[in-house]
Amino acid sequence: MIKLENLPEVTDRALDGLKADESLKSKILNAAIHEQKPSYPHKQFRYLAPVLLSSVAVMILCIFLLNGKEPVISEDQHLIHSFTAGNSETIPVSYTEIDSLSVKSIVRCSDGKKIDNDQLVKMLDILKNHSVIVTEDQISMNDQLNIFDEDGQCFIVPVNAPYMGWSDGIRKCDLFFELFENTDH
Amino acid sequence: MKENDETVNSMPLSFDDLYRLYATDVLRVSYYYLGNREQAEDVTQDVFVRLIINQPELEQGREKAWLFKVALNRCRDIWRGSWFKKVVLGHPAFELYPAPDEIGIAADKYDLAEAVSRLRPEFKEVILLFYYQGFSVTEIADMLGIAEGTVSSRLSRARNKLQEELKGDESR
Repeated sequence: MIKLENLPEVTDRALDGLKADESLKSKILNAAIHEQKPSYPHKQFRYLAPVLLSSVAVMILCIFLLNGKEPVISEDQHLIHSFTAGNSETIPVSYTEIDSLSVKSIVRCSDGKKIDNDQLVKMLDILKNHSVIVTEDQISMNDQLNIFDEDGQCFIVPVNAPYMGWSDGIRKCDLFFELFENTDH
Repeated sequence: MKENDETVNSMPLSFDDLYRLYATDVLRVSYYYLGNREQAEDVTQDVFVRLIINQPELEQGREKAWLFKVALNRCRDIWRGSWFKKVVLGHPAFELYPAPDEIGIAADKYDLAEAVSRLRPEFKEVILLFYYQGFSVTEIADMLGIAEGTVSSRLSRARNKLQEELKGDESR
């Protein structure tokens, strides 16, 4: 006699080891980030931006050539972006706009290291209270932190430890990265 | 449809809530459908990535139906796309993933799960949605884009098939 009503119970037992866990969730969030590449807030900027950046680069080159100094290549790399799930537009965000209490996890792109424990609030508070803005010339950002909040919003922060690129400039925070490195998943 | 209490809440459910409530069910239904764990995980990933990217305007209480509709469409695509493997290599084996304390316990209690996994896709869909996920015939008809009568008839035929399958298993 078939008891199909038992199917949920049978399935729960037979497939108990088949669960959608945190690693699948991270894969989903990373896939969503990569599918939703940052774009300019206004489409017309796509055409304007290369022209403006080239002009700025030429101006900087001219200034340094006139002064007899080595040129510094200007790159628009210290911008933090955020996007909400489903929204294709990105907006630069200042580090002060991140609500420590609403952050659920931080994922580092280079190695997928993820932090989602109690240390998070402490780390973000340290970032806000102990980071300092640096005045050095351009620092190349070769990595990225994805900060997810509880609403599914993702803040993308370009980094090169101990430096982080925010909309208001580059900040240095050794303690934050120290904690990040020493915190277990 | 039997729903978790949280879905009665008037606030729209976040990605985290939907993942926590339904991702495992989506994964298991996809696994039943495809018989391949990696493909089932890919389907689950696709479904939730679409949820994040498209951010569909889901009516309160309709989120689960949307997730399963997308998942089954994706499963069908994969199933159709893998016709060569099916024809040449046969259907994939439906492996069990029991809890550690269930390993070694008589496998015959899982016969029902295995028999469901061997049904043809159109029968499997209705059995899983009706008996496993608790959707009504009307909801299933809406999700699959077929008439309610067709759902009822498929359910009846699927039950008969299962009856035959399980009798066959007993007589072996």
